[in-house]
Order: sequence, then C-alpha cells, then structure tokens
Amino acid sequence: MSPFTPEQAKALKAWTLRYPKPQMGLVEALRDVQRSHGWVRPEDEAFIAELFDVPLDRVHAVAAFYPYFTLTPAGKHRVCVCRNLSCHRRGGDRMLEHLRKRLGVPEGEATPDGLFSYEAVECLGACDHAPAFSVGDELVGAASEELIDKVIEDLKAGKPVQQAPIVIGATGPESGRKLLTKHFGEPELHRLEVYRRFGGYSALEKASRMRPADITSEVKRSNLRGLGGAGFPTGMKWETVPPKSQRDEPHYLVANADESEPGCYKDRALMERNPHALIEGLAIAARAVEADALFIFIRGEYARQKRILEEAIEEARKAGAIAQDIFVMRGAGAYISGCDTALLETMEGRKAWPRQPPPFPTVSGVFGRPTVVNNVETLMMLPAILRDGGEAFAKIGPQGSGGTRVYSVSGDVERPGIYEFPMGAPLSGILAAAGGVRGGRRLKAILPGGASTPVLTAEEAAKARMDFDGLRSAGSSLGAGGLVVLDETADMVETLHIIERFLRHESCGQCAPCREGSGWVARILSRILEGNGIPEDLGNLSRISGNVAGRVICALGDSVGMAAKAMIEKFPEDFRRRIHA
Amino acid sequence: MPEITLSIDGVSVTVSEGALVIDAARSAGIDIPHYCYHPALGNPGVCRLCMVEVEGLPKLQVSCRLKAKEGMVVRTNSSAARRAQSSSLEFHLVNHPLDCPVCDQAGECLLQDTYQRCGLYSSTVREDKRHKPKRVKIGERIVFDSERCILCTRCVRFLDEVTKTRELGVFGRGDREEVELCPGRRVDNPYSGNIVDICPVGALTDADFRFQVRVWYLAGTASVCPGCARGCSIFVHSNVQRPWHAGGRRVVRLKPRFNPEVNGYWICDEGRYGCKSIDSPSRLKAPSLLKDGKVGAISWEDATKLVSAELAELCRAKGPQGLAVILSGTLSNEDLFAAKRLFIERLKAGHVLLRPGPDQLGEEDGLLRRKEKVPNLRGAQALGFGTAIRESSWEKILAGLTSGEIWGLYVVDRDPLAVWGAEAGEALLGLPFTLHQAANANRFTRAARWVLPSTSYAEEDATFTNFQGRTQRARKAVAPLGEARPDWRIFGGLLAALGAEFPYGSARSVFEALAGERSDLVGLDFELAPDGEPR
Repeated sequence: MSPFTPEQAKALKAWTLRYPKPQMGLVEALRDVQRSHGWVRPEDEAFIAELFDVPLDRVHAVAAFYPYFTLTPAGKHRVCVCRNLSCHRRGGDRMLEHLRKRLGVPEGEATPDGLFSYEAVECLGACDHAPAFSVGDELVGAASEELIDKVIEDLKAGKPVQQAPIVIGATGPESGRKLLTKHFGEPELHRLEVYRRFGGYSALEKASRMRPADITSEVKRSNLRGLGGAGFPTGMKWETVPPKSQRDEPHYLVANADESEPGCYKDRALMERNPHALIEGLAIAARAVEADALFIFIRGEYARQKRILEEAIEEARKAGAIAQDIFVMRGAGAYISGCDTALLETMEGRKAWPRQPPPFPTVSGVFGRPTVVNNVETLMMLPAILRDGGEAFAKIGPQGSGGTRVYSVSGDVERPGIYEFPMGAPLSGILAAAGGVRGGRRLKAILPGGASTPVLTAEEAAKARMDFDGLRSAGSSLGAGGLVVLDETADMVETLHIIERFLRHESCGQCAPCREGSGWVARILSRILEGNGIPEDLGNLSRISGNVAGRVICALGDSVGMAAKAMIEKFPEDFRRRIHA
Repeated sequence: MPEITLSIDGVSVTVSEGALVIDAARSAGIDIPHYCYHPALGNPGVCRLCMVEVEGLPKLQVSCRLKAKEGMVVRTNSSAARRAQSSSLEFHLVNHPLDCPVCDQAGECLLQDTYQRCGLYSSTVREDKRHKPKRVKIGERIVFDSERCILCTRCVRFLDEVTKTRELGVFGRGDREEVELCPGRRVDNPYSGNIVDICPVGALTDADFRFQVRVWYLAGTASVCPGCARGCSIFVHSNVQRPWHAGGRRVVRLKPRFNPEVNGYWICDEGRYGCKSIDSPSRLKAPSLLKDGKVGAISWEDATKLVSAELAELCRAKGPQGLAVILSGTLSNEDLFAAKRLFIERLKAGHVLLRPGPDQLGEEDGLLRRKEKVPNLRGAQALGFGTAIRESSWEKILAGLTSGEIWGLYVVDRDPLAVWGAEAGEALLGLPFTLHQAANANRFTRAARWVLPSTSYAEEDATFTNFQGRTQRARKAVAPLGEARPDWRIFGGLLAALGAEFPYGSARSVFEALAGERSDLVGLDFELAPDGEPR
C-alpha cells in the first residue's frame, strides 16, 4: 500500500519528470516527504526508491546524510537556531537554551502535541540576522527571547510567521566602482523592467553575436577568478570544456548557489536583490561553454531567494530575454554540497561525497556530462565584463584579480551587511564601512574569507589587502569573502571549537583523516573548554589537524588543519590560559 | 598496452602504461599499506593510507589512484610518506576499540599488520571512543561489530558490484556514519562469506568460525573446492596444533584463493561451509558388515577379501548384468580410473550410473555457482563415463531392483533413497549384495550390508577436472579420519583381491597412469596441476 495519498504520490511522481534525468528530482521529492510526514519513514524510502528506480540503499543513504531529513519524527514546525560563529557572538546559544526551556523537549524531538521541535544548526546563511533562526524552510530573522515566544504563539494560533526584512542597500565606498550592488537601493530591482532600465540583458545581446571562444577570451582578459572561494581563473576553467565539435552530447552549466560557509551570505543578498544579473550571467556563460541545460543549485535554506529567482526566470523567459529554461534545484542542508564535485552528486540524487578528479567536472560532471560549475557572484560579473570589456574589468582590481568583490560582513561589527569593493581593497576600509567594531571595543581578530579560513590578528588585518594573492601572502585566504569580525572579548579556544565543531558536523565521512580527525580535534577543544586541558593538547591539536590538511579528497579537510594552525599560532595565550586555569 | 618503467623506492619497475602505482609496487614486492583498495573492487581512495611521495609533485599522492608513468620516481618509505601513512593509521584507530585480545581477526588484521610497520606506539588519544552497535547478526553467517569497522567500504562495494544485492550501505555522515544494513534487509546472498574475507579488520566475522581457534594455530593448504563443477581455488584452513579447540573440528574454514581463470577472489557460501562435512559426526570411520540385523566392525583385509569374493561369486552365478554401480562426480580422476578398471573392465557391471541426478543438481548463477554440485563431471566424461561407457538411469536401476533383475547395488557417496524415495528401501532389503562406500553416512548406509569408509576431499591428494576442462589439484590437508581410505585405494584393493593388476601405491602414480589414457592430461604435472593453464 502506498504511504501517500494519490495527490501526494502524483506530486512526487512529478519530480521524476522535472529535470533532464529522473534522479535529479530525488532530493526534492524527499524534501516533500519530510515536509508532509515530518520525517522520512522506511516505507517512504521504499516508495521513493521504486518511483525513481534507484536502489533502496541509495535513498536511505540520502535520507541519512542530509540534515534536512530526519529518520525520527520532527515537529510540524522545525525551529532552527544557528549556533555558528557570527550567531554565537550575538547570542545563538542563549536562544537555544531558551527554546529548550520553552518547548521542554530534547533537541530534535517533537513536543508531545507534535507541533514543534528545535535544532541547533550550523549556519543558515543569514549572519546579518545573527542570531539567525528559521521555522521550516523560512528564515524568520534575528532571534530574541521575545520573538521566539511570539513566533511560537503565532504558530500555535495558526498565524503565518513574520519574515525577516529583505536586505536593502549594501554600502561601500561612495566613490568606488560597484558592479553588482550599485542599484541595490532600487526596491524593484528584481523586476525585469527595472533591471533592463539599468542596461540589463544588453551584455547577453552582445554575447549572442559573439563566437563562444571570443566570449571566453574576453573573460580571460578580465582576470575574473572564481568567487566561491577557490579563485580559479574562470576563463581557464571554461577552456577545459570539450567543445561540442569534439563531444556532441549535452553540456551542463550550474550556478553554485549553495553558499554555506559560515560568515558568507553575499550570494543570498545578490540573488534576492539582483536575480536577473545571475540569469543574464548564466545565459552568457551558457553561450561560451555551449551548455544545453542550465541550473541554479541553491541551498535549501534560501527559500525566499528561490522564489524570487523562479519568478525572475519566468519573467525573463516570457519576455524573451533568455531562450533557455533554467532549472532551480535545492540541496538539503549539507555544507559539503557546495564543493563542486559533491554538488554533482547531490544533483544526481546521491549523498554528497566529493569526487576525486581527474576527470574534472568540465570533462565529466553530472551523469558524466561536461559540466561547468561557477559561483553565483562569478556568473553575475559576466554582464559587466561583456558590457565594458574584459580589460576595463581587469583594471578595477590589482594584477591577477579583476573586478570587484562583494563581502559579507558579520560578527562584532556595528552594521553587518554586504559591501562591494574593488579587488585589492584594504580590509580596514571594509571594516570601516561596516561601522567598525561593535560597541567601541577593540578588534581582536578577523576571519577574512569565512569561518574556516585562517584567522588574521588585528595587526595583520590592519595591513591586509583583499584579493586572492594579497590574502595568501598574509597566510589566509579570500575564500568566499565572508568577514567574521571578533572583538577583544572573543575567546579563541571557544572560537576554534565552534569552527572545528562545524567542520566535524559537515565532514562527509568519506576520507578517514577528515572523518576521524575533525571529530578528534573538536573533542579535544571541547575538553579544554570544560577545563580539562593538558599541556600536550596544544601540540597534539596542531599535529592532528595538520595531518588532516592536504591528505584528503576535498578542501574541507584542509580547513580543519588551517583553521587550527593559525588560531593556535596567533593566539597561544588564549589556549594556555584555558589549559593552565 | 605499451610498457613503461618507473622507479619505486629505487627499484626499477616495468608495468603496462596506466597501471596503478600500488599494483606496480606490489609487482616489485613492495607492499604499500592500504585498506579501501581491493583489485576486484576498485579504488575509492578513502582510507588515505597508501600515500606515497612522487618526485616533482608538491602533495603526497594516494598510490591506489595514481597511474604509473614513464620515468616516475616514487618513494613509499620516505619520511614524508611514512609520516602520512602513520597518521592515516592513527586516524583509523581514534575510534577503534583496540580489543585485539577478544577479537577474532587478531593475527590476520590489517590494522595490526600496518601498526607493526608504521604505528606510532604511544597513543595520544585521550577522548572517549564513539560507541556503536556490536555483535549484530547481519546475516545467517555474518556477525558485525560496528565499533571495529574502519569504513573502508569494501563490503559495501562487494555487495553493490559483485553480488549486486546491496544489503549494506554507509549511512550517516562524518564520524557518526556507519556501515549498516539497508532497512529491512539481511546479508543473505549465496556469496555472503566473502565480505568476511575482504574485511581488513574484525568488523565482519564468520558466525561459523568465531571463537573456534586462533588463526595463528591454523595451517593453510592450497586446494580446490569440491562443491560444484567450477572447482574454485581455495585454502583449506586446518587446526592441527590445537586439536582440543574448535570442538575437535580439524578443517575449520575454507578461504578463497585467487585464481583469475576460475573464481577470481571469491567462493560461494555453499562451497565455503561445505567443509563442515569433513569433521561431521556422520563420518564413517571403519568398514562394517550388517549381519543378522546387527552392524559389526570388520577389518579392511577381511572386508576386501569378502566383498571381492561375493562380487565374483554373484557375477558368476547370476551374471554381471545384475550388478548396478552408482558412482559420483565427487570422485577424483584417480578414483574414477580405478573404478573404471574394477567395474567396467573387470566385473563388466550391467548398470553404471554417474551423472548427477536430483541429488547432485542445484542452483546456478552467472557468478560462480554451477548447477552440477560435483567437482569432476568433466573428468568422468574424459574417462568415457556417459560417452563410451553407456550410463544406466535411476529409473532403470529401480525397475531392475523391483523386478529382481538386479542382484547387487554398489553405491559410492550418493544416496539412492534421496532420489527414489524412502519406499524404495524395501526393495533393497532382500538384495543379495548392497554396499555403500562413502565418507559420510546417509540413509542408504543403514540399508547397505557393506559399508566402506572413504576419505573426505581434504584427506587425500587428488585431481579434479572442472567444467572448463581445467585439471586442478586438491591437496591433503589432514590425515584420513579413522580407517577411511581413498576411493582409488579401496577399488585397487578389490581389484587385487580379484586377481587383477593394480600396481599403484600413491595418487600420483595413479595420475601418471591415467595420463596415458586421457590425452588432455599429457604433460600435466601432478604437483603443479592447480595453477596450470586452462586445458
């Protein structure tokens, strides 16, 4: 007997028809199951396996891998509070404690009436709303005891939850060049007509008259580098795609909108305010790499941004601005899905275990097809490059990194938000634009590219320039441009513990050193925090975390090592104080 | 494939282009420690143990995913490579219970072996280990200890790729992840025992072998499995040093032996657990004679003399067409050579039956199992059974028994009652001559006047010719139980008592004589037979 009503079964069946391959709808179908039943039951897995014609173990592996799915009943309303660094600095743990008392059940368990359950989560991509909290798929905003109580009461009364305000207006130096956030003040920017008024889709028109190779050359001239964190030159990546004349089979292009690095939420804001720039960028890139199927892979927590994108795609299609459809796909709460080869696995309806190149995705990606994965911000830069020329774009930044960069600033600053600066801008300028350190306190440290990038001391931050090579020479990484600011009250053992706990939580479990090492490091730090540290811990932490870095398939393991190394080297006194207390 | 030459630890190694460095090293006798890689199950590269240094590459490489290239200079034992191997091992042990004293894998555990080579020998793990399910019976034959599991995924890949039954998966994430049964499933496929063999640690153990005897007391004998017509290469593991362990079982387990021509790395469960017949209580240990309703022991000398005399007398008085001989494809080439001399050439028995009936036919699949559950059908055919020697049938023999045309029934190994049904037992009771020659008793044993104990397959040197026509060697792993004798020797004794010549004192000499009759054996060395080329 089917565990679903005929209507539900029909809706699940629809997911098998939605994307170029049936299995690409598997994660979405399981999301439906989770939402309708409150958990994924064994009979649901069997049903999905049959529906999608995949082995049962694969469905169970997916259900057991992604945090969005639960294998025991969750509440009808899942309240999630972020406990990662930026949210921790603004009271995330206190909010969790409040929920614990308020709902009177252990984490993850439904209240007796089945209405609520709560979870501590590692980043909702809303560090500007710290401490961020969400109900179901929807971000609510910055949590406070009062707001949590109100939301619970509203939900009990069957009232809709009031949502976080849309991000309005990123700031930056008034004089500086802005390519993506210039018109953020325009409330209707997400409408096609408004986007067009600012010159939108003229670059795509221009690109449509160019040969694919010429588009790639223009992008190479621009020095555009991947803004998802790796910093790989975009034009060079495109050149590794076999041309259609060599491989006559569908090529895929994916906008990686699985922004999940704690401290980073710029893609969220960019998609929310300026969705057409992404759509135009995708269409331009599609022409350059001869892509037939276009995707936006967006993290599941960005429910509103998904709606905005889908509306914008619809609008652009109807108006004939773009010729192709763009598929919007969602993940299910795993950070590792943002790693390009893991993303391919999620798209194929599998758990997100990164692949080991070669072959690289551009040669063999989704279902073995040549697949280009570019970050949202990277793709959004393409209209500017085509419009003004690659050279002009390159000139905005220093040698080797062209254009501007959009930063997410969070943590202990006066005005968390997103800020666009030319590549190579001094870090101090970005901090100043965000109003400086909160409450007049002194700066202690900055994580310049997201929570898992190596920490910079206040002195280093004062000198740092924000571009790929500049930060590399400062011993850190530009990452995805998420600046997490820590003031003098921050304890670096606690900070490192939060980072390593996050990495442990997100380690996919494939390679032994990362699977075991991330957990080991997190447990040592947790023991030190409990006051049971011993002098050998410092050396062991460095050695163990260092042994994970560089020895595993993907970059997550590198973060385990680099985060610890920098923190221990730069703030040894914080560790010694804890250990000898 | 063109050949290329690379240097591994200073040794110049020539391999096919594109060979994996880990395999190239192995071909030069350099064993790079590894857990996840298995030649038949691919190279996921997740244990990160087989790391090596390659000149010109900034990062260490996993050698199970690294393709050998001309001129490549690889170091498996440089300090950087050793450090990486040590630290990967250390990570594998963070949550491992280190319960070697009570673990069945001890002595053949790759964690132990690697530790000998690159262990750190002073643990820095102070944290509590993660607790996971222990002693979970995940199938009829398999016990799983999740705490010992190092998540190399070999078992999962075997079930995905070889049996395609997919009972196990890696579920969860990060250090919370575990190998687990797929909901509602059990590992109950006909090849389940192999996952115990490929498990590099003590996570998967064999319910049949667990706690029977420590592996370092075992002797291994290269042999072939007699379970079906495939004749998989095996090791017979016998417990000779600690006879008081394992409940007195001498042959305690079979393990597959790699043979790319026949069975690759695997064997089936039927074959694997078939070894239990060797030390089964049903074994026949001494010749016996049923007289006045009582079973009485008798010496081999008297039995040989009396049986041969009875046979000679009955053949003379009633004619040899009344003698029915039921042979079996379980007999070796040497046994069949002697049987042919005795029953066909000397006694000229009227009915001879060898081919498998319902008693010796079973399931077949595309992997290893053949439907004929005997090892030597092709060997029998090569000697003429079923071709030059016309075979009788179960029906004809039963009809002959009922009509009284048949006066004697000489049965080797098999149980006619299993084919004819128990009712046929009555027809046997008045028969002047009934004999059962077998290693293990069955229902027919009780109906037979004469019982002659033969050796089990692990108790004699022999050759079998498998369905591909390969003649392979089974080797003696343990001494014959009680007074059991090889079948060829029993037949030879009867031949001698009947005044015929049978001048062979060993299986080898029988084989050599046989090679004169079977062109397919010419030039084959008795000693090397198991690993010889397919014939």
